Amino acid sequence: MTGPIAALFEEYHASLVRMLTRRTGDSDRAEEIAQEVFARAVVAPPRNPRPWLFAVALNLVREEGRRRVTLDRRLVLYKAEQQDAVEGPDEAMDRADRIASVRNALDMLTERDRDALLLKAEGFSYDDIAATLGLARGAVGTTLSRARARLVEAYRAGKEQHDAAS
Amino acid sequence: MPHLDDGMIHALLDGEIPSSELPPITTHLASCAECRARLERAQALMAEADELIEVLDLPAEVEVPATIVTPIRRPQRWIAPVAWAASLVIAVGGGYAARGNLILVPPQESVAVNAPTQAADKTVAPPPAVATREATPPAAAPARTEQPAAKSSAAPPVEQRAALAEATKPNDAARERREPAPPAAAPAPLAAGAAMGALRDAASGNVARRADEARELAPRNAATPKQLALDVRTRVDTIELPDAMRLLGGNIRLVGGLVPRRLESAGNEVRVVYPLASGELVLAQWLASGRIAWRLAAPAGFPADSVEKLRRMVRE
Repeated sequence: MTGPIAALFEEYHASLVRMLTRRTGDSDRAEEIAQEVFARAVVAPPRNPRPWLFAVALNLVREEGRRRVTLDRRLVLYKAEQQDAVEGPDEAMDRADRIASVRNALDMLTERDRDALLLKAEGFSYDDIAATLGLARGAVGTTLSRARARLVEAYRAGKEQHDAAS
Repeated sequence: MPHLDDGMIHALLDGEIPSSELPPITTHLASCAECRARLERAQALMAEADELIEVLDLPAEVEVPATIVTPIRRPQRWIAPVAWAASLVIAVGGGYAARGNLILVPPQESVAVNAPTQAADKTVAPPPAVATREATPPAAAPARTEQPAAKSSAAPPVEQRAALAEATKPNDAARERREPAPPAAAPAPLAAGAAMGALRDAASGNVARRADEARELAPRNAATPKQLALDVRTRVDTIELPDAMRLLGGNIRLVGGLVPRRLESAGNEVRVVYPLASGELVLAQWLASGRIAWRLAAPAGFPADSVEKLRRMVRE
């Protein structure tokens, strides 16, 4: 791999895969989507690569999400069976609960809030978040403040519910 | 100055307020206890939100064995077209023979992406090397292995933001006027629905190709469609780069800029398989009169003109 695409790959691949893994909860899917994003970058090299790469990736997640609902449901069922079959240590189960709670909380955000939050976590500036999500720059602070508040609220609410149930 | 709104407070903590706009804000903060309290709350909220997001990076505690997960993840992609191709061959050719040494393997082993050689080992000698991500060309490897290390640089520590002075420092790079994200550059529609999956290979010529392979492999004794389908499937071996290059006379073609998922051999053909969200991109190549001939098959949904451009990226 040589040339500008190799440089792009080097610079953004890890960050893109991390964001996609956080977004989808599936590192294999994240790798595949990142791969397709770079395939498209090969075809049409972007002038402002970072927002472009992440915008294309998030669009792919959305489009793919619509197609994979059934598949995911089956995967979740399988995972549930596995968890029944394999008893992990308590600590590990706590961690699994925590991850699931955060994912649930993240899923309760609007798409825009969630994407803004994940991009910020990758070190995106407000300008880049605005460019990636097609927002006005002035709206990024408000979007992030709302997203952060909702994430924390949703997580706490889910936790309370969980604690009450157990 | 009126009270600071939440967006402004978060922008301030994120270091996104231009220095020219800072004086009235800091003046207000100095005199308004309410806004200072909100600033503190916002800071705690940000730290908590950041922590929650990082929880998503923790490894899940219960590892689902690959042999169970992989068949669920991408089973139809491989079995369906091959089985279809095999039955096509039977219909057209009017009877083929099974190989004498055919060993049936459970479908999940033969299609599991992470364990393809388990199936291959049973039918082919010498056994091919285990296919892993290490089988990808060396140029691609470093980027992958750097992933955990890159984490710290991408997400600034929360403490850094705690200091207002630090947070309000203007970021010149961030101030650069960025061109807007290109909505037009957003992805072309991907194949939707399972039906499209079945059509994918037909569109890209895979069915015809696999039917050809099945014909080449034409066994001599009578076979049931099921046996033949299994036979065709187990003829595809996952191989390592040196083996692939040996099969191709010391050379190989790759799509510049992409990282292969695996290499396969099928008869005299070597396939470099690239993962895409919408399926797999296959660069099939073989020796013809001492030179490498090749073809590129993309999943449906990948724009035709883009495939054409990728075709131009194929190089030795």
